[in-house]
Amino acid sequence: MESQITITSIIIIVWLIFPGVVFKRFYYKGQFAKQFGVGLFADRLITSIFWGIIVQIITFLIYSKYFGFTYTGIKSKVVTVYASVSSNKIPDISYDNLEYILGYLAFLIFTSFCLGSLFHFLIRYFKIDLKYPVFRFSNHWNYYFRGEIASMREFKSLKAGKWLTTMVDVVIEDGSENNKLISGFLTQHTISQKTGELEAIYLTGASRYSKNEGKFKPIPGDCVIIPFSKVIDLNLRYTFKVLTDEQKNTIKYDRITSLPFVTISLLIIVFPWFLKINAFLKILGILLGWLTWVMLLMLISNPFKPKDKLSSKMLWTLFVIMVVFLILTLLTLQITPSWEQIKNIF
Amino acid sequence: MGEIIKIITRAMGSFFVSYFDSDTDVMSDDAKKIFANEDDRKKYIEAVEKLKNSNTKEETIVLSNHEKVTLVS
Repeated sequence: MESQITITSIIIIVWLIFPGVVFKRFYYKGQFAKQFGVGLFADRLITSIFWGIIVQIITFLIYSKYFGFTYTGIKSKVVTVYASVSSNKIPDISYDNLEYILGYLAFLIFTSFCLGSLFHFLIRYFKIDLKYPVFRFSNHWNYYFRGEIASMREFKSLKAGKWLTTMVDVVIEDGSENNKLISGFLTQHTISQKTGELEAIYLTGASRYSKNEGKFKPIPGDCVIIPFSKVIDLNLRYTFKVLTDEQKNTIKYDRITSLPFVTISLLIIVFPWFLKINAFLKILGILLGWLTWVMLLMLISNPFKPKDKLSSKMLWTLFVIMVVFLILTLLTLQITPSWEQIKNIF
Repeated sequence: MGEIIKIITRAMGSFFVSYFDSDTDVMSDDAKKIFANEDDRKKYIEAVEKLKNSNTKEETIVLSNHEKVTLVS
């Protein structure tokens, strides 16, 4: 009975919870990283299992399509191994089977990483979290402090250009009867690892309101750290930069190129693992392929660049280098077309 | 050739920075550049204070690299 519980627990942890945890690790990143470890244990466990199941289904569908195994095929092997383990015998696992299992496990983790990163990227890239509250991350301070609320429906009137800084007027409790009013530019904020709540804010160029003089007086020093527990009131004021047409086009250009860049980069990372070549060549192929893609994207996107366009001499140099890298990639991955195939093309 | 390598390195660098960026900074990159230069920082703070304390809707400053920045608050 005990061994059954242990085996079941290990299976659930390795095949369901772990992929879910990896998924969440890469979904909650950047300024939202602390959300990963926040919340009730039961809640985190359930969400990990949920994402683990999704990742497991996707991995199974991809892996079975390319390696031709079926559910019944796996089940019979699992039943054999389980029968050996439950009767206290060492299961008879061949080297091929072991390679199969470890390969699947590695692919499972890689899928979790890709899906987590991709979901995060899509939600942030298309500003889905700003448009639909259900997708919003729990660090809501980030949206306020970075001026991202300007993209939300309820604050649409704020949108006046590109956000530069957030100035904050903060009333803090200092233990005396008179509270202090401090004003400054927000530079950083920290979030509690345990609760996910705001811990402290960091101000630069800060000044303190003097009641006697009736004006703000600069605070000597470079950075003022205010624990959030001392804060009574917080007033935020954003400063936006008015964008020129060229700057607007540059932002558009960056947004348009980043999506194919990430998508194709992911494909380049995944594709070589389906080829029958050794691991060193796969890694080298990924590196060369990715560099080729960077150069190709630079060539394709150059005519649409609003500024700093490459000269025709540089374009030709880049083109020649790109072709060399492309040939090296094809040779490394051993996917060069045969002479017969080339002849057929022409 | 050196220029090409520089461009490729820059493109790769910006990708890795954007991917592994884990900051809790609440200041844009443009503002960080302004704050890194003492003169620009002074001009910027003065312009923001002006926007705060007057009815002016826009304030233009010229940075040390001759870039004109129009601010609104």
